Amino acid sequence: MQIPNFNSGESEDQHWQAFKTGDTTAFSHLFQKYSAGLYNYGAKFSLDKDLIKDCIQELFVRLWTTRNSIGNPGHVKNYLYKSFRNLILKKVVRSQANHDFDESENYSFNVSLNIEDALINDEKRQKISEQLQLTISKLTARQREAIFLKFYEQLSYEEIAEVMGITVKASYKLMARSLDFLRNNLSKEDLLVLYLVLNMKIIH
Amino acid sequence: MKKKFGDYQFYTLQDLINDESFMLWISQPTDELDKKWENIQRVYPDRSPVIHEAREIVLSMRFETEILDEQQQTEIWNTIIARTKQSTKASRKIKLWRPYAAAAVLIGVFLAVGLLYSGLRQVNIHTAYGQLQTLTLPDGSQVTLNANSDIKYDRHWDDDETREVWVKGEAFFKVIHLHKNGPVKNHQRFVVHIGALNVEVLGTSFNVNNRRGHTEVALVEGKIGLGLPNKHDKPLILAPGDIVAYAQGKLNKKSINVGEYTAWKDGNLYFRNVPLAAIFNYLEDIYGYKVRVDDPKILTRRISGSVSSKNEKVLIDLLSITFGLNITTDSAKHELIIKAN
Repeated sequence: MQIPNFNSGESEDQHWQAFKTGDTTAFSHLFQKYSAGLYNYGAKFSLDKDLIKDCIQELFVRLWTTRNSIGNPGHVKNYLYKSFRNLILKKVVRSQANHDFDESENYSFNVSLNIEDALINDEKRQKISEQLQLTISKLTARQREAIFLKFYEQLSYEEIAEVMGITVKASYKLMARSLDFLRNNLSKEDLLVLYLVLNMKIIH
Repeated sequence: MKKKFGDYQFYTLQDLINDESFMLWISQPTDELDKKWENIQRVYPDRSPVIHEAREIVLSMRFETEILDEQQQTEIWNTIIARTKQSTKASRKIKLWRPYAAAAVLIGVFLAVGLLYSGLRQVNIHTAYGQLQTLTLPDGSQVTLNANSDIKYDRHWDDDETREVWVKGEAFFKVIHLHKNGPVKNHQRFVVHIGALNVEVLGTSFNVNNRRGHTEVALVEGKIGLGLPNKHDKPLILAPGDIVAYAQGKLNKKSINVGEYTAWKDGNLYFRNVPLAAIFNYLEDIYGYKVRVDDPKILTRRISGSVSSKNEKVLIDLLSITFGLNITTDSAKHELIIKAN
């Protein structure tokens, strides 16, 4: 489940329905709402900004031209992200004849952590961020993508499964592996010290 | 799948980061959430380590956001429109942004210290020479306008609308930071249009200045992404103390003392080795004086110092004493006539 959007799920549904009937304002509202997030997501798959923008364009053009036959997705955002992901991967991953991507997908997914901005200039936290950045770079692309979708987009395991086109069980496994790797690579000392410090705070 | 309190006893790291209430507690804590999670740790103290671990990982996992600036967004939209070939009547384009008023009808004209409503939706403010004005924007952000400057913005900002303002002259902003984490939503963005630049911020204090075809943006606190006109590159990112000057397509970034640079908003001026030519330009921009100098060599002389800007006469006296100049004011023509002694 996501952190609640500014617009409630209800009005989003209304926008979707209106868009399907050809309401151009509702359509532009969808674009306004999701284009920036999609761009940010796309930028993880490719450094080619024009390609990402083309995909966004493609996505929305298709949305519009097929609006009469589109169904009613449970959550518009996941539907858009999933479709967008397929579009981008098709362009980025060469020589893939069929459209079923399996575990051995060969694509890249790059994230960078905002280390300078680390909450309230906390040195310890900054150090952890740096460690995380290093560790994250050692994950596979799929693991990184799952981490991104979980921590940045705040998607649930079910939603991650939907967007990445895998089973819910597989998304749990993917996440578990990533987290284990992270935990094993974060200095136990750092975390322990932090825990002690925080624990003291809570006890007052 | 209703959660029972007993479930928390066996909570793993995986469970925590999948728990909406936990993630909310980390990113937007409330008293209620604090109580809840403190309670869980009191009842199941052996969950504490994993809770702290999860908390630290989540807080440290802050991703860099790749920003899609307004101009690029509009470009993409225009292409979408073109490709879907909307069969709307005549020249009616589907506008992505709310169309700004060319309302021919003025519904009441309010004149209060230079405040003008032109059209139903817009606020247009102009400061006179020698006048400073501080305003509160529709979201609560503050802006101080320097003299002889303009600012324009929508009277009301919708919940899902990017906050936008247009500035001519000079202004100092203190923008309210709305973005906590996750993808940046429209209403969390704040864009200042000045000269040929679009200054995109999430929340920060900064100064913008556009005089004589020369645009400057200086950052006091926070972080800014500067969208350049005809570039498809990433926006230029500023850190506190940075100033960027843009003129004739060229961009120049350096570090300055932003406290002194923005002191004008508190009625103080600081000059550090500034040529008189610049000071005379300033007198013209801010106070409206046309300056006439008999000997151009005077213009290259430099001054350092600070002075109150509340009354320009003090500044003029300072110049005349420092450089041994004879400065006479022609009130009728609003001119300063400058002669070396």
